[in-house]
Amino acid sequence: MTSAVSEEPAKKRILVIEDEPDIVRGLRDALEFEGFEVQARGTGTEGLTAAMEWGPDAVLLDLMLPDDNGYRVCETLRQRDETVPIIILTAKAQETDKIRGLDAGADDYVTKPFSVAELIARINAIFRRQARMAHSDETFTIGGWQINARKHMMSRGRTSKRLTFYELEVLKLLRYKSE
Amino acid sequence: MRRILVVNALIFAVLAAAVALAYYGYTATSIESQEQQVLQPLRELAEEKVFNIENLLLRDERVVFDNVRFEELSKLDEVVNPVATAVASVFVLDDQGKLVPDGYVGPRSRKPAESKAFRDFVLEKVVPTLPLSKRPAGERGHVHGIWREGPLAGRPYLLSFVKRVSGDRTFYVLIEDDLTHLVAWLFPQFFNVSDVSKRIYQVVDERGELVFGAPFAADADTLVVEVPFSETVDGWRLRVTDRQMLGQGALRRKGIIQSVLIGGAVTVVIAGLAFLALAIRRERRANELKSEFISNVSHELKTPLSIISMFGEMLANGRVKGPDQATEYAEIIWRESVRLGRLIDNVLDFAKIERGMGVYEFADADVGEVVDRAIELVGRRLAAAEMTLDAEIEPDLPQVKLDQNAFTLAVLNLIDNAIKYAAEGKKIELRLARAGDRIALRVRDWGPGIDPAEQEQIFERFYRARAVRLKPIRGSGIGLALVRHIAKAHGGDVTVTSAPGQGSTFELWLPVV
Repeated sequence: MTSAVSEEPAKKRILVIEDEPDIVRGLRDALEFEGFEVQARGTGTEGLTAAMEWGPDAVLLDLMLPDDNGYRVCETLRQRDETVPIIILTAKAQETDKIRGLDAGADDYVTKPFSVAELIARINAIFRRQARMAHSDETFTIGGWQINARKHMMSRGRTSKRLTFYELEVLKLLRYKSE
Repeated sequence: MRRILVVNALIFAVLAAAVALAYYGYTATSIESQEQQVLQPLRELAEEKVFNIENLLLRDERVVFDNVRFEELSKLDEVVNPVATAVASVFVLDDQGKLVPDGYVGPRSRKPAESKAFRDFVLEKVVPTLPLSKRPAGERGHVHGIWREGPLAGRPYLLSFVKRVSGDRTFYVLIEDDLTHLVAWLFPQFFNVSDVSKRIYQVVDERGELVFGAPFAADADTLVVEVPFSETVDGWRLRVTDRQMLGQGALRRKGIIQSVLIGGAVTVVIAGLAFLALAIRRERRANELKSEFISNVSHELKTPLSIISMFGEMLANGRVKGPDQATEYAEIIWRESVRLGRLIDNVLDFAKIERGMGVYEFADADVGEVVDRAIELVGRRLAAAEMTLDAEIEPDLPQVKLDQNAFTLAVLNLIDNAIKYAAEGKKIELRLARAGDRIALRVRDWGPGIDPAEQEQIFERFYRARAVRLKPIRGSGIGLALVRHIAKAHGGDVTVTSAPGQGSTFELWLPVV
């Protein structure tokens, strides 16, 4: 059994934004069984609120939501939090849908029907990658600018700016090349 | 988008071409242009005849004008009579307009007394009114009219004159043309008056009275060409018509028929294009709905499949907390399988109907029993939705011709819709009763109701109401289309009565034969 022990690190929190109650039920059971803490919301609006208030470690997002377009929810989530992993979980299986979803800021795209084991493996892979990122150099300097890779910020003197995911990647690449 | 533009541009081009064609067709066949086609040769013919006749008259006059010798007036009679058959009498006048000695020759046919009376009348009454001196020497002038008085009162005349200068002497030669010769001798040579000739000729005077030729009724429909004898009897006109045109108005009728045909053709083209545009629009809308339908159906199919696969996998891998949870998972799998099965049935039946195959097998059946069985089938779904169904089925309903499977599907769809979209109303009322020559099944719910604007559209295939699309309720948009198709196949129909917030009543009726 992998049930939580007090010394173990806090459970990873996963927010499920999905309108189909049976799917929510299955995901909750499966993820909780794997030791994650799960909250579920049935609409995009509720999901966005929960993402802000609860601060999940990852979000599972359905694209066909009753109140809003899933892509838009994904974009909003990404604007508010540059780092939180977003996995789109949807019946839309066309290539264009996948590209659109990933371009909207998702980290992974899983189509229905899906394998629970594979989904959990993908979630774990994302967390591992995140952990490696956390150990990598968090700050470096380019042209007098201090770049904080963890906070996605760059600053010089009193000015500081937010960096998007790609901007940070480009800066990292520049540093790597200059070394 | 580009294709739509191309199609619209093509339609517009065809329309423009049709209108242009119609315009040119109309101008080519219009009455005026057809008249021109017929009248032009007639006019040419008439002008040629007039020219030739006048030429003969003028030739005879010219002989006299040229050959009169002032010094040899005693030979005037010889000059006039043998050659100039169109000349009746000749006056030779001095520069004061007075008759010179021996300056008159009259027609032999005229009695001497009459001839003298005529001569005096011309010299006293007519000559002073003639514009003798106004013309240059050698140039012919003429006057045509009807004698108002004198011995020939009431008869037409043509007087021609010329100023001559011989040495230092100026004199005038005045000719009275022989109109009897013209009418009785020249006209018959030029105008074929037999009944079989293609053309009909007549010469009319200034009062429109017939001078020569056949009378014909020149009504408004008859195309007639009129050419005046402008050099001689300028009050007279030659009228020519085509025997075929006479009084028939054939050309006009032909023109009208052609115009109607062209108008009809253009109307058909325009109507065809309008129909095409409408069909394209309808097809485009159907395609949009169809792709929405495919997306809906794939979502519809994948959702239960995902649920089945997810819970199946969890059961297979032992990711369950205990036997109760396992049973629960199995129940979910079973329920979703049923749902999936029904959806597949709907889609397949719908596809069959769409392909227009003869899918119905009618047999005498008891509607009450069929509805009862359908109610049994939805029992579990009602319970799951925590809803109650209040059903009243009138006993002893007459047997009707039914396709039992299809009708069951229709009833299931109506009840399913009430469960799906009106669960908050908590109850469904079902009534099956006879009303006159119909058996009506009414399914009433207390859900959110249907926007009046959408109450007809919801029966269109693939259409899903706006309010429903915004809810987490799965649907493919074919259920009600299927119900309507089934109802109509049974000779009945399905209608809805609803108002937002008031719930909905669907009535499916069948005729009692």
